[in-house]
Amino acid sequence: MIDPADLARDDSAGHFNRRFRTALVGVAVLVLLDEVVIEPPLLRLMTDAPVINVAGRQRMLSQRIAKAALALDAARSEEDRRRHSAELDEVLRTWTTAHEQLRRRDRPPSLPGANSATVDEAFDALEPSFTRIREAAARLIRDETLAAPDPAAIHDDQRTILALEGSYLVQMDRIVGLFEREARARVDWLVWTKRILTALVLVGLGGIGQFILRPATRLIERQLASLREARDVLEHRVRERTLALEAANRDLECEVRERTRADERQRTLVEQLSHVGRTTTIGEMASGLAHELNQPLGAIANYAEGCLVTLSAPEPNVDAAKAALEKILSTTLRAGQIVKRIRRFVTRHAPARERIEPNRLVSEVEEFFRDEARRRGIGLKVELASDLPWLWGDPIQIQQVLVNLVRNAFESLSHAQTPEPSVVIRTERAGADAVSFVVRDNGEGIPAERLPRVFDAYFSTRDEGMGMGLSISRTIVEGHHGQWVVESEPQVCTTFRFTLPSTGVEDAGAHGLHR
Amino acid sequence: MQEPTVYIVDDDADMRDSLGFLMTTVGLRVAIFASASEFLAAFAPKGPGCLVFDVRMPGMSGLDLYESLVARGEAMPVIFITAFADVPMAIRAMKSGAVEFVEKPFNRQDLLDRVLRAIQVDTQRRKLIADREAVRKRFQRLTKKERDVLELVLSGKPNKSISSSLEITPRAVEMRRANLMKKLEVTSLAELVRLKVGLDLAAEPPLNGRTMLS
Repeated sequence: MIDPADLARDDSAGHFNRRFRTALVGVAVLVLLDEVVIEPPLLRLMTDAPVINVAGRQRMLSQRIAKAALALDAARSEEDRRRHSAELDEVLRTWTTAHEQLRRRDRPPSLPGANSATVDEAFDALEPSFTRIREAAARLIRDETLAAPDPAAIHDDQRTILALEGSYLVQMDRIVGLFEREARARVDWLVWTKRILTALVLVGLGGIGQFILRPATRLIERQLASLREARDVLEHRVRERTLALEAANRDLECEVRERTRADERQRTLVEQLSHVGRTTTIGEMASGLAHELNQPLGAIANYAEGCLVTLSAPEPNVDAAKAALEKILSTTLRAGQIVKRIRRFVTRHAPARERIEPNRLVSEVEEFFRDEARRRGIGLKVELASDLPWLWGDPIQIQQVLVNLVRNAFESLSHAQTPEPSVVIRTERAGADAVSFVVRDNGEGIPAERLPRVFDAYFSTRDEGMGMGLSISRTIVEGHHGQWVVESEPQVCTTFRFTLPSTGVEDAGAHGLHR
Repeated sequence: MQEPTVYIVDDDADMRDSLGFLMTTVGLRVAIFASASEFLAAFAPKGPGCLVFDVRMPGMSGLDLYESLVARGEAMPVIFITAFADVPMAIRAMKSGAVEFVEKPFNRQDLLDRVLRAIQVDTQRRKLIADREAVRKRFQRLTKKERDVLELVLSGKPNKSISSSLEITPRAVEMRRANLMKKLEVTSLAELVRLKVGLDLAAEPPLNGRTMLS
């Protein structure tokens, strides 16, 4: 069974899912932030070092300018002068380029980055010193190239350079200091920013742990617990159900046994009843049967008497006597057959379930009545269908039903003044595996209002007999899962038809064996 | 005259065959038939005999068969073999002048006795019929004039009165009377009267043997 709380937790799982996604987005944002915020200052930090180097070198270059200017003045030879002049020129060019690079960071070929306002201010302050040193140095270089340089002007320029160099150095120191401070500030900012971001990421992860993973774990634990519980409940229910099924099975077996016993009892009862019916029938048919038996017996007596006469003659005809004795033998067998038939019909037997060949059964019944039909002047015909399925049941009982029906037909004919009395026993195929037995006569028939009662016990249209025949017949046919159809048009045609399924009795007998 | 014959009609093969065998052992000629129709198709007796019929047979019964023979004027003494000698059947049988009933199971010697007796009756009857036929033929030989005289003689009239009634001479009467006596093979008036009465009385000879024998 599913706990509604579990369903709610299922919903909270969705909630966790959402929270987890949000947290992931947060972390992603932090990472992106790291990219966006940290990367550019980091890149700038990489350019800070060359800027500081270049700025530092400016100080050294200004000293070299001063030194070159002094050396130029103190030079003894022309060659020395030219050498110092060239050096001054080279240093001045480097110094000027570097200064421009530092001053105008946005203009190539400049150093990357930008100067802060403080730096720009410092540069502005430096600018007059720089400009005058540069101009003085440039004049010195130009004067050297002249044919007749003015020593006073040179001297003047040298003094200017030496005088400005001191303040230039101080200011340049300040600028380098500014660069270094700014770079350090940026590093500090980076460090703190990085720390904050790391802290945020840690907080985020902690949050994920605290607000997502832990409750999720708890949820999973709860779900596992409820799953275990559900499994236990299920196992318990399966055990219970198995027990219930076993009990039901036992009950069913019991019922099947009971049913089988009841079936057997029923069959025994039907057999007892039908046995009584058969005995009664034979009793009622006794005179006819006696006559039938008298025929062969009379014939035997005739032959025997004839033999006696023949053998008593002075010259006995042995061949004739022998032929007669052979006739006696065969006729005795015929009489024996009749007795056997009667005995088989009447003898009590256990309810049988055997294969029945419908047509053979009908032929035997016809034999049973052949003599009586002859004596009564009734045309007894048999119409057998071919390819009939076998039936399962008690052949004697089915035969008994047919005997009852034929007897009734005979009785009906003896009451009616039918010009050509006839009884037809037919077999017909009914559907795939059923056989219909039909007994039809053209006797007096049954009035429509009496048709529904023909199977009732003690309901007889005959003077003799107990009226049990059809009642027993119905019981027998129903015992074989068969069905009846009775139709009658008085004085024209009366048909009794019962249809037996070829499998019915077998199933009824076997239902106790398989489960 | 031919040898007497026993005609057996029974639909039961064993029964008719055994009956036939029994009859032949006492030296009787037998003719066996399985049904009434078979019998009727073949029956044309040339001499005395006896019928042995089974009463209950499919198609035409033994009684019906006998009645049809009576109607055809070919009746013979009959012995019915039956298991059901019920009263209505017996009455019906007596009306048609049947001879005997034998109820199954029967005593064979008794049956043979009855058969032999019936044959004897039939033989006598046939002889009687033959004799009567001979007498009738003698009467038929008489002329019209002789018959007129005979009638008056039998009514007891003397010759004189006959001559006056017939308006002939007494001499003529005497002559005619002598002629008719000669033709009828009688020698006295008494003999003539007995002959004529016997012929008139038994227009048809009775079939019932007992009546005849008693």
